[in-house]
Amino acid sequence: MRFAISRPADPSERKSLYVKLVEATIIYAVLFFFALLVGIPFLYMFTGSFKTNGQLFSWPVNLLAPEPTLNNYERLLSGEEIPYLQQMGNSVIIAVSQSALTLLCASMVGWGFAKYEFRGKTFLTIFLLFTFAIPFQVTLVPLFQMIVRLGLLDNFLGVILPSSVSAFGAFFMRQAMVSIPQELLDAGRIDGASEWGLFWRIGIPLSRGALSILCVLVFLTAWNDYLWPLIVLRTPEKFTYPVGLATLNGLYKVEYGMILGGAFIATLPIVLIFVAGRNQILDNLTIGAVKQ
Amino acid sequence: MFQRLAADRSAKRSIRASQSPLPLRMWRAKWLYLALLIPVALLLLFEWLPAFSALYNSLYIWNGGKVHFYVGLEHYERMLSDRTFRVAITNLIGFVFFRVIMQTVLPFFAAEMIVNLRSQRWSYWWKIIFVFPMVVPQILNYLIWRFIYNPQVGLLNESLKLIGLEDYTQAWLGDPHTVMWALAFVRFPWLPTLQFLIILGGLQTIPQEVHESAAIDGAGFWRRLFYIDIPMTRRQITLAMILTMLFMTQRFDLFLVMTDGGPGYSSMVPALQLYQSAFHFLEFGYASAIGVVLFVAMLALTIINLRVSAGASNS
Repeated sequence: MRFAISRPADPSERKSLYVKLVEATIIYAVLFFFALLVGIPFLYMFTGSFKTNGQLFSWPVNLLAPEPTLNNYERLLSGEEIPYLQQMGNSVIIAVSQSALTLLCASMVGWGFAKYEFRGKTFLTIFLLFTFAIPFQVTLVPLFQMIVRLGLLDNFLGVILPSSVSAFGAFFMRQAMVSIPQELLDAGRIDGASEWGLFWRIGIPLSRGALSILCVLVFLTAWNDYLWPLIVLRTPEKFTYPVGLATLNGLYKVEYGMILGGAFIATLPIVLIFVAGRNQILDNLTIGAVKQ
Repeated sequence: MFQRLAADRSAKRSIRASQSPLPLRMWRAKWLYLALLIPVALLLLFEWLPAFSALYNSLYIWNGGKVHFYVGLEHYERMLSDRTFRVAITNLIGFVFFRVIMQTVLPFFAAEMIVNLRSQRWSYWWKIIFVFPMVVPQILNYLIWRFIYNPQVGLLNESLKLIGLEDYTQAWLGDPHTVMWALAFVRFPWLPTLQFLIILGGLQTIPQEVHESAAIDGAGFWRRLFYIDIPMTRRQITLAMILTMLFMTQRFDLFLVMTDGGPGYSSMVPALQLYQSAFHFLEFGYASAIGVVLFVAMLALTIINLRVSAGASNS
């Protein structure tokens, strides 16, 4: 270990302006390159929704739309080919109720694991961890049979219930709730709060950050899920929007413009959630960093 | 003073509570048990029951309908000599290994740069830019990457021609030698939102003073990286790696949409083979057996991971 006693204390004074400039340029250039690669799909989707099929596949690729047309959106919203608006509504119902259920279950289990000692805790922890390892393809066929037997085919409940509890969510919430100081709970108990009250008045508000991230993740998964709704839902009026848009991928003609337009409208609610919750999402994620 | 007294009293009360008989204590904690029981019951019903019926089905030949008879471990024997399955396993190991490394190193790299930015405002906006892509539906990303790899008009081949490397243009997804690499590079530069946020969160919790005192001791960027930043975010890095591993092992929509396992079965992975056996060939028994093997493998990996990370945090 070398000690540099003679050097100036402030490291920024040590570097010349030139080095600092080069460093900053490199950092910004790399970040910009990343951002470019990350942003292109979004731009492509947005401009592509204003193009005809012919323009979409012309070469060279134009990421802008020189002759924008609203034809795709008109046909989507008129509902002649597919009941798009109704399918969006279905997606909202399914994604919202699934998020609410998952958040409730995950935070209850997370709270129990973070703040209480009880019999069978180790066993339950292992149980949850192992649940996390079950590949969903394995459960696909048996789960489908169960849904048929329960009479939930072509029913929103059949889509919502199976994924309403997530072992991952429970762990995620536990990690966030462990760091809530025990003294707060003791103080609450002294003031006569019930255990249920402690959960709602202390546990939930103090883990808002983790909750909002989990909410975004669950909502997004439910919102974009394709396979399971495709299996459970049978009539176009009950489809969620990804299943509905996939029906535009027809045998003879693929309506890429409409698919892109539909996908773009469908990302708008996510953008709204993201804009509203961006600070929560960015600043509160310290999972894995369990502070005492 | 009063507070301390109250705390003492509550401590005494909890000691007294822990001495009362077990059934009574369980009754007092009934809400806790109920809050845990409902989710656990749902997990049993929707995860474990199907998983066990898959285990049961793996011992049968079953076409999803009337044909259903016991064959014992025949499916597992078949798997040992199944060339497709062997290719699928090899592909999966390579793919997951590559992605786990990349999806940890690059998010770490990006997060490190963002944390290092002097301007708070800029670092905020860069974070937003990197988290924002999670709004793009996954399926759309796959369509775009298929387009990039397109042999006739794809972005990749056209760019190669542009810089005079015509000899290197190829049907990236149509050649057994390049297809797995092409798939591994989908969504380059691999900045998965969740893993990025986890690592970023870890880096942000490192106190500024630690960095300052390291700088005073003359530690440069690399020294700081290997002696401070990586050790102090070990938990987050482990978590990001476990998540990537689990997600990537289960991933099959990528393979389904991009290549459907082709050409031939050169880009097959177990999850896709399971899907095809079940829904194309109606071999639900064999599909279940593949699923059971996949489950056991993931279980083993989870246990090893936990051991390793527990060992690392104890030392």
